[in-house]
Amino acid sequence: MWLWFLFGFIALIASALYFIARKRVAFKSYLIMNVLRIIFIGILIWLITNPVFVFKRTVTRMKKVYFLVDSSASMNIKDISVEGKSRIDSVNDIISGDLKKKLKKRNIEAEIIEIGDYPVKNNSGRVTASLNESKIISNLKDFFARFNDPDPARIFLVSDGQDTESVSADSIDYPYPVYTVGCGNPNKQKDVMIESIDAPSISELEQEVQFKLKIQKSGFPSNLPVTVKMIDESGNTLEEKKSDGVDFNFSYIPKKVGLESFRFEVSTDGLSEPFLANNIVETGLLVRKNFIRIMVLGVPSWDLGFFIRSINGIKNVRLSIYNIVGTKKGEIFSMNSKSFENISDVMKSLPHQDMIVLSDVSADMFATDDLNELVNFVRKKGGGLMVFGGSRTLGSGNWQNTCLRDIIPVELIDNDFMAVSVLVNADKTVVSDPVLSGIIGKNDFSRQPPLYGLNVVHKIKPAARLILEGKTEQGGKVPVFAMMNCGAGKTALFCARNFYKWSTQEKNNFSGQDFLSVFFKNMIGYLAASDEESYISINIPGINYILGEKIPVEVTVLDRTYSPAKGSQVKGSAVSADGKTVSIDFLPVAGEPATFHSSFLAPEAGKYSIKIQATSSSRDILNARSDIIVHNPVVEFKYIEANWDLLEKIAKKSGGKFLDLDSFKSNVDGIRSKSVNEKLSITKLVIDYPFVLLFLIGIITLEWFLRIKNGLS
Amino acid sequence: MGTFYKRSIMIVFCVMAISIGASGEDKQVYDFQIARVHYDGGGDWYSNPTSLPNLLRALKERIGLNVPEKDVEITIDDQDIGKYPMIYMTGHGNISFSSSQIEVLRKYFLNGGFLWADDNYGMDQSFRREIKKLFPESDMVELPFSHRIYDFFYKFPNGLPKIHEHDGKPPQGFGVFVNGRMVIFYTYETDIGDGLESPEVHNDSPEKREQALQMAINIVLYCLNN
Repeated sequence: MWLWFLFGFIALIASALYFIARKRVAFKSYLIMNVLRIIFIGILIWLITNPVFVFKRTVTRMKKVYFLVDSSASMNIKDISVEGKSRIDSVNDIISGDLKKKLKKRNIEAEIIEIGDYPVKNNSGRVTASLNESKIISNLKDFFARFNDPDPARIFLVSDGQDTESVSADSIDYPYPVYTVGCGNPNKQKDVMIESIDAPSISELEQEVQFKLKIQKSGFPSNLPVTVKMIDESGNTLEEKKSDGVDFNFSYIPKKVGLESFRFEVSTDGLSEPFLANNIVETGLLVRKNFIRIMVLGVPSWDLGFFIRSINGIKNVRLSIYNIVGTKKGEIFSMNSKSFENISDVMKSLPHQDMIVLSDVSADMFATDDLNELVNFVRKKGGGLMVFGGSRTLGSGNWQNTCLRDIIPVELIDNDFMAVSVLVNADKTVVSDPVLSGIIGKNDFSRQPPLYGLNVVHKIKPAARLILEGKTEQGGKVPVFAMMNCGAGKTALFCARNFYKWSTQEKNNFSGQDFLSVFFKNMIGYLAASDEESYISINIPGINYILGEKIPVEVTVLDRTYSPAKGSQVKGSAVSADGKTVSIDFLPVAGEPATFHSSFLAPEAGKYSIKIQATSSSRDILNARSDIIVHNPVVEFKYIEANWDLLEKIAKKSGGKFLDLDSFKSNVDGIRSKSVNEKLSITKLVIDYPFVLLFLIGIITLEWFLRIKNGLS
Repeated sequence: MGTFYKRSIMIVFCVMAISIGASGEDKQVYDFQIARVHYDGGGDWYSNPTSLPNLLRALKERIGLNVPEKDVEITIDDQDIGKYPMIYMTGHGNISFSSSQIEVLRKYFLNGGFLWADDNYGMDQSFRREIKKLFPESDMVELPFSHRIYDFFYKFPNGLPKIHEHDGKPPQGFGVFVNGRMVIFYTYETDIGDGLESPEVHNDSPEKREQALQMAINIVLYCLNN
């Protein structure tokens, strides 16, 4: 509408300009020039709106033959009956060779439609099979929904009949007869394949993982010996097993955190198989250190029992408890394995831990090498050490004459253990320290029951922080709890003994149970969980996904005491190996505090890193990631035989005919060349017509001629 | 002044500061102590008097724990019950908890306390009744032989050992769990307490006494590690 307003406005201006010169020209000339100019402007503005001419025409064309060619993964199979050629190559050779020539000779048009993921026209003349699964019936339904040829010469469906959807041939209506062409070999073929792999997709670091493979032997004797190899990402064979059975178990102990992928290959010894693609299966394993491993070593005592109870509630903690019991020299009793173990062997396993707790342990029970292992664990491996006091430890346990003296936050004195009554307090300068998070304010130290045992240390080392101090009734001060960074690791010393009494007594509103439970969790956060990832729990049910499968992700954000972090927010993304990013939008899970859920679809196959960023009201931004693998669907390789039954059913139901490849070649002989009248609706832009341009030039030229003639410029 | 003298003076100051500040509390620091419960109701709470000292001696000799020579006797109303995370009950007769005692015991268990109750023949009915009053929401459940307490240190693949014959029933171990933690372990139809007694008291065979001792050590170590 606005264009016509514009037209009117311009026409008015043009008329006004002429009006100025009106006195110099005759009215008749004035009128003609005005009309010419208005027509010119009008046509020009009309052309801006892209006007089109629509008309119908009846054309005569030859009937078409349609080849619907299955381009799914199974068409890559090279059957033994067609030497050296895959199913798709055999089809291509027939269509592009004999058939096209025959059809062309008889003036019959042919069109190739690929039936793979969805029907798509193929202009190249040769079809390439993808790695995707096939959905024959759904594709046919889709094809007919879009098909607009009212009188096709013939429709061929060329396929091996391998189908991955359980949709019956009877479930759709066929508007035209479909001539189905079976390629491949429908008879039982000799094939060895990996039928299934049963394995966890997520594993913890250094925990044994079992891969259980089931082998299928088709067309071979059931006792045929086969070899199965487990191969890592670098192509190294990790393990090789040969057996005449069908069950193969492989075990693997992951040594590093991250996503690892493995290839399993099955082979017959010297016997040929027509198809090898299903002899290989790849699977991924995500190795996580999503828990804190703590070794607890000590004399059984109420203190130790209370400590274990306190931290047992932390979801991600794995405890290895060793009791110093009995008189066997060089041995300690493992509460996990219920057996005595050699101390040196236990200390050698330290690098597999995040933290060690020594409760009332004498240095004399260790060999020198064991002590060096312990020091290395802290200084070089970044491990955490927590020491509880007692009558056998620290100065009373000869620590000051061993290398242990170098890794604790205090200077020791000999025979330091005292049975005393000490009231504990936190120095004002450290009340904001993270290890006291969630404690100060809740508990009034001045009202607590006293501690009843203490190792009296000489002094705090300059690099250490004193957190808790003991005050005797007479005002004497003694260090109770101190921490220190030590090389790559951290150490903490709780000089107290019989601190359990805090846990069982409630006095003046002081709850030792609450105090110590939170305090020990904080300590673990400080000593063992230096990695911020330990505060974000990412829960993905699996690691191996098929393209098109929804990938659910659940995230829980934890605070320093490993409780759900209030006020937390989460955002995430999945990033492919080549940098493609899919945003993951999380929603809170009702009834689960600080827990968020989302799911996403991977755009293509490959490895993806799921990156999570969490913020909470009490902590800085936390980052964590987890990895997954998205595989192309290859389910139709489970059985390599062609499924001609399905093709026969389609032919029967649609009123067509089932053909094998040889019959297919000759079948087109029966197609008669025939022309059809087709009414076409033709739409063409007005501006595409040259006469429009010529007309415009003519008008403006005539107007110009009249102006010159009348002496106007 | 040399380092030696500085250190010596420091030590002396520390020791003085602490010794001056020491209160009148029991200053012995033990790895483990057990308190025998002097309960109401008329039952002989004091039976098997040599059993607990024998157990403590075995813990010292076999496990190397720093323990006192004798157990402590307390009433449930005793303010100090919280100082003893393991308490022991036995007898042949009636047990009764008052409502205030129930409150004390409930708090004691929630704060980490542990009770080993050993039926000396005749306390079963009243004990079960009182425990139901204590934890009406928790049932006393029989522990399977696979429970950790049966192989915590010594192995008892068939559960509790049979020390004394009472009603011809098999020995049974029951647990009461609060918040997932076993707070009460009840040994029934076994009489471990009798087995812990000195040899001349019941003339039990050395094998039976050894079984009782081993099972009792398991119970203590379980308590100290859970």
